[in-house]
Amino acid sequence: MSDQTPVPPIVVSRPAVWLAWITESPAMAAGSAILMLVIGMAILAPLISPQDPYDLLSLSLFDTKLPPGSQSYDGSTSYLLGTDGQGRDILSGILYGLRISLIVGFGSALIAGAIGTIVGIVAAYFGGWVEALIMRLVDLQLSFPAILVALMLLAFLGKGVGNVVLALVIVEWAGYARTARSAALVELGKDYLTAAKVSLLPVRRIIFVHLLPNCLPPLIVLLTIQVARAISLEATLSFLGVGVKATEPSLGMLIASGFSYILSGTYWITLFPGIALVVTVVAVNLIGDHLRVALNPKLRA
Amino acid sequence: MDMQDTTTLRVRDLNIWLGDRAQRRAIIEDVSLDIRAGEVLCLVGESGSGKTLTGLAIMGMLEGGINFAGEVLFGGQNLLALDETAMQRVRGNRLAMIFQDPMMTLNPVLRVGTQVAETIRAHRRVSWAEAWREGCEALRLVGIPSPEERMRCYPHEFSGGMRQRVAIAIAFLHRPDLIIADEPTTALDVTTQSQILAQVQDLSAKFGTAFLWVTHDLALAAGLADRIAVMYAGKIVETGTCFEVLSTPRHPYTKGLLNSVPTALEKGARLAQIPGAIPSPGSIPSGCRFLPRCNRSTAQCATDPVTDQTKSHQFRCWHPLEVSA
Amino acid sequence: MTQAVILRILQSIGVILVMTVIVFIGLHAIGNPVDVLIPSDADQIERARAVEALGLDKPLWQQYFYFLQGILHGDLGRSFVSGEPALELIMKRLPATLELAISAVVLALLIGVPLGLMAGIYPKSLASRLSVGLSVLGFSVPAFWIAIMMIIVFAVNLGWLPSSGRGDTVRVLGVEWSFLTLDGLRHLLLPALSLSIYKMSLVFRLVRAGAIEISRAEYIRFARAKGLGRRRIVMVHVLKNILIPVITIVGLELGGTIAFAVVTETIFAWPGTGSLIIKSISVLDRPVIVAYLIVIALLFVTINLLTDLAYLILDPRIREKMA
Repeated sequence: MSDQTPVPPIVVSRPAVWLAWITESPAMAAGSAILMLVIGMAILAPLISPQDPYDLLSLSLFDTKLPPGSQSYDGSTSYLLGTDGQGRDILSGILYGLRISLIVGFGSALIAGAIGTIVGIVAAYFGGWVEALIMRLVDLQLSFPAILVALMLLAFLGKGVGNVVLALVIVEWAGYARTARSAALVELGKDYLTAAKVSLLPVRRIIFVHLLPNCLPPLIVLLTIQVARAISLEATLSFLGVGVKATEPSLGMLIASGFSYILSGTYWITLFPGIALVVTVVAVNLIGDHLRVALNPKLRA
Repeated sequence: MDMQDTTTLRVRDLNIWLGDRAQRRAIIEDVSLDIRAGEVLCLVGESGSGKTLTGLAIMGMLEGGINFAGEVLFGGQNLLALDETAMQRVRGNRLAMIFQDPMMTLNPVLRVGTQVAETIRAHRRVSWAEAWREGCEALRLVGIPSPEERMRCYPHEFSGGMRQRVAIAIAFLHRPDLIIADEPTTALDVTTQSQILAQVQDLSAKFGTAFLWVTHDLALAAGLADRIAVMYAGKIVETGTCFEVLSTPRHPYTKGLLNSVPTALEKGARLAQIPGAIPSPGSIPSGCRFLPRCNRSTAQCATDPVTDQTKSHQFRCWHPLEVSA
Repeated sequence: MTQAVILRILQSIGVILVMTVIVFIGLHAIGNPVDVLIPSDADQIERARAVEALGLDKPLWQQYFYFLQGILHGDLGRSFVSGEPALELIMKRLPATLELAISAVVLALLIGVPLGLMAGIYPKSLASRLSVGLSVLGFSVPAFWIAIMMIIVFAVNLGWLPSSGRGDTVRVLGVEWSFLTLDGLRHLLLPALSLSIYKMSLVFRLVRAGAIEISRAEYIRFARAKGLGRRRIVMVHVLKNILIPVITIVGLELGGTIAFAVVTETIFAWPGTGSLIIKSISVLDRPVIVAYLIVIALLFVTINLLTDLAYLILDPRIREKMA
């Protein structure tokens, strides 16, 4: 009577699996949808924004600090979200600013992730003094707050998108190294890796083909969180005036440019770029939160 | 024979299930038990049969989301009908419980003495100093040397056996009528196990404490029990005195359990085993639950067997084993 | 135990030494130290004199030794801007920063711990779900943005609270404090709250996760079986176990809070070290930057040391291991 009817394997195409996985949690679905929208808007910024914020000739001195919904002085355009102190359209500024923020956020997180992961796995694989040295370095790095280290680096390096990315990579690599090392140590204890080591495969092959893929889940979660963190850190640094240059305004820069006006009630210059920033960061964090649960078999049970 | 007066615990038709009416998954079904004053009833069964849950249900400590119905009569009241505050007065007082893993039952960041004394203060209005002094006596009672010093220690400074002694001391603090013991010796090594068993038997004889002793170990039950109840997949399949159940098992499952106990005589011989595995809640067959694993089954077994509740030795089987002798 | 503490203190001194090496290397690796330590408008003769006075013509190890000596004597050069000794400038403003950071941490604990306990013990209640959602926001929204929104709402629109400065202060133990006057408290509230939101979310999540995990522990079941009331179980058995990770995080985060005060102080014109350092960075007042780094490093190491010691006191298992 022990009727163990075999369950027919469900055949689904990969995209369908992905879609089902994304829509499984409303937070994940919302986060992904918003992030897609934000990325899409940033990519299409030159096509969809009403004004080129880098083209100083298109700015009019008569159009400074106009509230949302105002018409331009010559009546040719309307400023949906108002204008800033230089007569720049806020909406256009946000669309272009998103590009900088996203490039810095994703760029620094990916570079730091690649470096940190390799360093961490190397530490775990070789052990001994290599591991000790790397991990002391990681500990030292992590014992100082990211904002402080980035601030000091930029104080010496100077402003600019490249320098901000560099500073964020220096700040963030250690977190990946620590996570990668502990994940790799767990994997290295398992039989399949002992087998791979015994079979005298080249070290590079063991690390990249056998070890790395199995260490990925926690690193993907960390990567997502770090993207959000980097976007927000860049905004903070730019707000403080040590981040990107004024010629390549990110969201943080826009927020800073409006800050001196808020006491006089001119809130929109600061408010709307801030909302764009917050929505982006929250969307990434929602995805990160979901990944943390979904990729952790212990939490899933 | 009037059993009414001497019955300490009377469980009637205890049912525990998960889910709502539409998707009900039974875990415990129609369990009835009687434990008389000072008696040790061993509840025996494989892991997953629902023994622990039965114990927790009696304590009123089932987690939220687990449904239950039935009656647990103890000290003149139905425990299942009591609210949390009223139940708190019963727990640790007239009714106590000891758990399986002594390494886990004491809070690692509180002194042992605190954990003993707070139990006294939960039930009686006494000062900390007085509770502490009583706690020392309680530890001395279970054979912990120099209790004044040990009271100030933290649990990690105790061995597993010593920690279980502390748990037993806490259980006996208010001379309860009944202690539910959920495999309290399983996690201990054999010599410690027998010391602790002797200690518990001493104390229960001294204070007339009844026990509901949950175990999967028939050999242990043989040495300890006055009566035995065998549980299988959420139902009690056989009850009787220790002698009745062990010497003349009537249910094929009990017989199977007995056959899988290793004995010195059968050295070298292959141990008998019961084929198959215990069904999980939700996949329990209708009719006799042991049916898929039984070699005596007939068409009649598709309906649930009934028991003769008037007898001392009860079994839930259509085709019970013959009494051989 | 004493031995463990001494070992830990020696370790801290080691970390400080490493930090001074890093700052020293930073001075030399990034740009010419002459530029770092001497005002850029100094003429040739002045420069030569300064190079000799600072020992910059000596070998590197000797220079490091001078640098270390300077730190020990509290001499880290003078500010290019005000001409005051850099260290003095930092120390004068440190109390304001500490006041802000500690207020933020205290606020985070006062709100985060009770909310986290509630959310962990009644995970299905509406208030719990709401707090979990808000904590995601608290994690995501950058602190400077929260600060700006608070100014727009509470200072500009409602006009309830001031948005800049420390307000009235009282001199106690030779230091000015804001939190002892009503006006000072009003000035402190917005900066402290905006600085604490992130920590609050962190504490909330930590306490919630801890409460959920510990409520399932066997010893909590045993505590219930002993007939203890819910109050005693939550406030003693659960809370004492959660406190250990919370203390660690609070200790570690106090450093982070001091660092992040840079942002908050700039926005609220709070006269602490943070707003000073931002100004110093913008005019490249390097002696002040170096002094700030040394002071902050010392502070962090001290905080980490105190955290470890608190840990030692709280967890009997670790106490045992260290002994």
